[in-house]
Amino acid sequence: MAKTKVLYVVHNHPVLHPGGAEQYALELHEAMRDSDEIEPILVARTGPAPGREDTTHPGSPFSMVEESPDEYLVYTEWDHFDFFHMTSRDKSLFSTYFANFLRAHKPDVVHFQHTLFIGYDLVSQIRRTLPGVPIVYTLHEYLPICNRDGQLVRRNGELCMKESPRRCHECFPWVPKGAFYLRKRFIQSHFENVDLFLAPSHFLRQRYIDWGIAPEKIVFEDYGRPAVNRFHEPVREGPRIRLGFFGQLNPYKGIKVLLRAMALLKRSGVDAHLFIHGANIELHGGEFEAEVRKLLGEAGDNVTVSGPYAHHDLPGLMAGVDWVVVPSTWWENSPLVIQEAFLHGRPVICSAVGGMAEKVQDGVDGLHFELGNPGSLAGTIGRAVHTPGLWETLRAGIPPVHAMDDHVANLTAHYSGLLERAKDPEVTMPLEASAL
Amino acid sequence: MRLPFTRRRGSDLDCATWLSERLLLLLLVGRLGGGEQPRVVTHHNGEATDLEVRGTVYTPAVGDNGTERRTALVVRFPAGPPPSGTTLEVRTTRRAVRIREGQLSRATTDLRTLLRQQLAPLDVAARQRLLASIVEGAEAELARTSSYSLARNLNLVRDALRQPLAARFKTTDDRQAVQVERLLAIDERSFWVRGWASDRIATDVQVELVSPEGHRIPVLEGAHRHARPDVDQFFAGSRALVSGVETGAKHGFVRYFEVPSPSLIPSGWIAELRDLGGEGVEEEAPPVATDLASVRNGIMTDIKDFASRQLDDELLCDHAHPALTKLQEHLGDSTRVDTVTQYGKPGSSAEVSVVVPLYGRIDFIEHQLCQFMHDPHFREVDLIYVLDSPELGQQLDESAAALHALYELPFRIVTLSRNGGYSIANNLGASFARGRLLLLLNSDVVPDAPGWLQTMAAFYDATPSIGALGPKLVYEDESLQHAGLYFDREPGASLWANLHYFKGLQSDFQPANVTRPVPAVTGACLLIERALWEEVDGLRPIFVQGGYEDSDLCLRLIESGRDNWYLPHVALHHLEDQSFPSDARRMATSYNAWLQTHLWDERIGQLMRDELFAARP
Repeated sequence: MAKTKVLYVVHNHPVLHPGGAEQYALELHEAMRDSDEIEPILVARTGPAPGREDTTHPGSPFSMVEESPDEYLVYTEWDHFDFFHMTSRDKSLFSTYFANFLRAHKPDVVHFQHTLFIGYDLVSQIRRTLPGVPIVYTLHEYLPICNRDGQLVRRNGELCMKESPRRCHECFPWVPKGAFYLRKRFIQSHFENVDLFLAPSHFLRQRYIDWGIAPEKIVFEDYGRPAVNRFHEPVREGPRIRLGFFGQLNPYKGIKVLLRAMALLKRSGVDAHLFIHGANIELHGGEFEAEVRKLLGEAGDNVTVSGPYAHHDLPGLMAGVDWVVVPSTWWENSPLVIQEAFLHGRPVICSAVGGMAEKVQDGVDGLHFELGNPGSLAGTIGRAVHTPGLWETLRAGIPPVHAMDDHVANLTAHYSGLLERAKDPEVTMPLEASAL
Repeated sequence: MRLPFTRRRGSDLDCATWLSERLLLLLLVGRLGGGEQPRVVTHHNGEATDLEVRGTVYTPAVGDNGTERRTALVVRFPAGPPPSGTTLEVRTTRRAVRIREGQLSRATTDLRTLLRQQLAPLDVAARQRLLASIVEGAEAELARTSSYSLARNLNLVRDALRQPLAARFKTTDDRQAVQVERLLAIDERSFWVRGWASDRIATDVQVELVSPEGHRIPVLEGAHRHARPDVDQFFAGSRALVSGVETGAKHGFVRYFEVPSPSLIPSGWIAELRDLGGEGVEEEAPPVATDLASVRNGIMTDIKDFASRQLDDELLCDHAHPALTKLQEHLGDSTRVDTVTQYGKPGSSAEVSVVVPLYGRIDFIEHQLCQFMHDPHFREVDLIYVLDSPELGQQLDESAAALHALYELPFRIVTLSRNGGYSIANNLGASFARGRLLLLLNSDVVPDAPGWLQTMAAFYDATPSIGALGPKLVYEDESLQHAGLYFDREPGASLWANLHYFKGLQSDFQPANVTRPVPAVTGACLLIERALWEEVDGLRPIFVQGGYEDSDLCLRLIESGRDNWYLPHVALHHLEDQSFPSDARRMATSYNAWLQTHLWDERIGQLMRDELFAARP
């Protein structure tokens, strides 16, 4: 039987720039290569980035990723991208180049991981160029809903419960209400051409249903993770005082809350040590960077900054900490760092909202604290390091992480269900029922 | 040094100059006598032809060849300078002067020299009389030809012959002051002026505007006069001895006026203020604004500043109305279709044509196409975008091609030669329509769901004697924007305003969800049979900047025995005023409301007394 050709579209390739969703997308692509049923093709967006010279071939934005015959880069310019409607202003990207690409490759299924720096229009282009080809779209964050980097956080830092043209206008007073209405209608119009949305968390799924995606069109499917070789857990005497922070150092990740908590702990004489494994603070610069540096000074020798890491460094780094802290000041979706922590047997201390609270059960496999509250976080860390046996209990409570093999099987089932339905609209997909 | 053009012995001709190709200024020695208008006849090959002529007698300056009086004539040669062999005969009952063609060409000089040597040295009275006579003599020719070089020459004549007044002005101690703040040309003969005049002593002054071509307009006669507290305040600090100052005097004036022949020179208008004794000051007016959009904005500003909201307001009735009527006519006449570009293959059965004017912003096309793409019906719709902002033409060309490639929906772009305004854009767009039905649609309206246009068309076809049909329009916050249009005026007010039923209420408010006839529907989304549209001649481009054309159309439909219907089960979103600078619209509204009332007062009153159309049914 011929394999089902699945085209994956993602906004970045990890060979160019690290990032969670793109790392996952690549892992999925690689896992699909081993599938007997699926033949994957990956298209990752590339373009000029700060400090790097990229190239494209004249006359085509497409080029190969070296030595990977099923991986493409598609080059788009920053200044052609409309960040408000999240689309390319240069429509020939879709109507000429992608259309030709699609006609050449004729995928059976197109699965979007992201359309950032490409544009939602590509969804509709696929529908027109390849009528009947199922379109799957994994929602990794909330950019379609929220113009504030998809964070669902309001101007004053308050978590946003509901978007509306009026509320968005309050957040961006220089953008008229009607523009937000049109933005939503624009995105939703293209999303109408998607056959199935995948939500890596129940929380995200519900937010998109509230926003207007029909419940039967969006199903929960968490990220699958390849199996890892667990390191040998050394026997340790004494309290579990080593905390780890992993990820991007941007204002939404809550590093300031964590550093303030560390300063409180230091003042009250609690013995705890934080290792920061993070990158890109310089990208945010200015006030944020200055504040983080000041807080680092206050926290003193209780904090070690280790800087960026490569994905394959993770097992070693995880071995060096007891707890993983996820102090994000926004909702999150399904943070990959929680999966990483669980894969390596690390209980997680996280903010008690959104995707974090969903993935980490308070008192079972980790601990919750009040979002944005350094006192609450300090108390929770204090409890974590001082309660004998707590670490062991929580570690024992860690559930298995969604395995990539299972993920591949689920996706394969989705694809074939959609293909069946495309042939015969009477067929109801089994997974649609589970979504309701 | 010998003056070349002083009188030659034995000749009655002093000198001459061509004011234009066909207009000769002739200076003759002596009076022609008789006090009547002389005849000027050319004799050529035995054929005598009478010419048009205007003339005046003047006395040369003392010391210039004695004190023999002279005669100045402006003579029109219909075929230009006379051919050789022509003899010119100037004749009254008392005297005849014959000038051979050779004599004439020898005596002909350029205008500047003639003015400097012959006319400028004359006394004030003679110069004034001459100026008036030359201007009058050139009037018909200027009117016939709109010749710019004739206008330039008349301007030279005016500057050489006009007696300037003092230019005292702009200190608080000045007794007299005059200022023209705005001078707008609606066309070469129709002008709008705004200014003020003040005399601290004389209560009765006159102000004349002198055009660059020498026409005099007594500008205060019939002008709209109003108080100018800013002027009063300026002079309040004066140290001058003042008597007879009227407090609260109406220093300001605004006026629409027409001149008998075109004024073509854009700068050099002069305002002269004189008291009854002839003492006065003058001030040059700012250059004439000719761009119709700026002219319209200027008039709108003056209406805003000085008009009342009364039906019989003098500024509106006597000045703004004729000025704006003419201006809108010119806008219509000067707006042409530059290009029509077809994107994609037009549908085979164009049942409905949709006309969407684009003004100021073209990005709405993408939002509309992005919604229309889900409507299979739209592959058959005759979609016409009318670009009423030609400066965006190139941008639109690129964008339209790209959007057509992306959405694969057929549409046409009609590009206008200038910004003509809402009704002109719609009328021109509709003139290309192929559909049996015609939908006027604003660019900032997007449908809620596919099928809406078919539903509207079906309702239209099923409703006997229907005129215009309008659907429910909703704001981005889901409140009602349009559920039918009615007319209302505050108790005691004289102008009818256009209001929308239940505007701002929730969109499912029950009374707003009743299908019913209404006095009018908004032009933001209006369906009409194309034959009917053509029968009533589309929108009337008499309103300014858009706003009342739709109700005017609906009133004309009612007048012709039709009903206008509101259809609530089709809903679209209307992001009102996103595409329109609302300042300009606000200014235009007071005039438009006046004009609508002026045209429809009785009919509207009658309609609104009808129970069916009561604001709260």
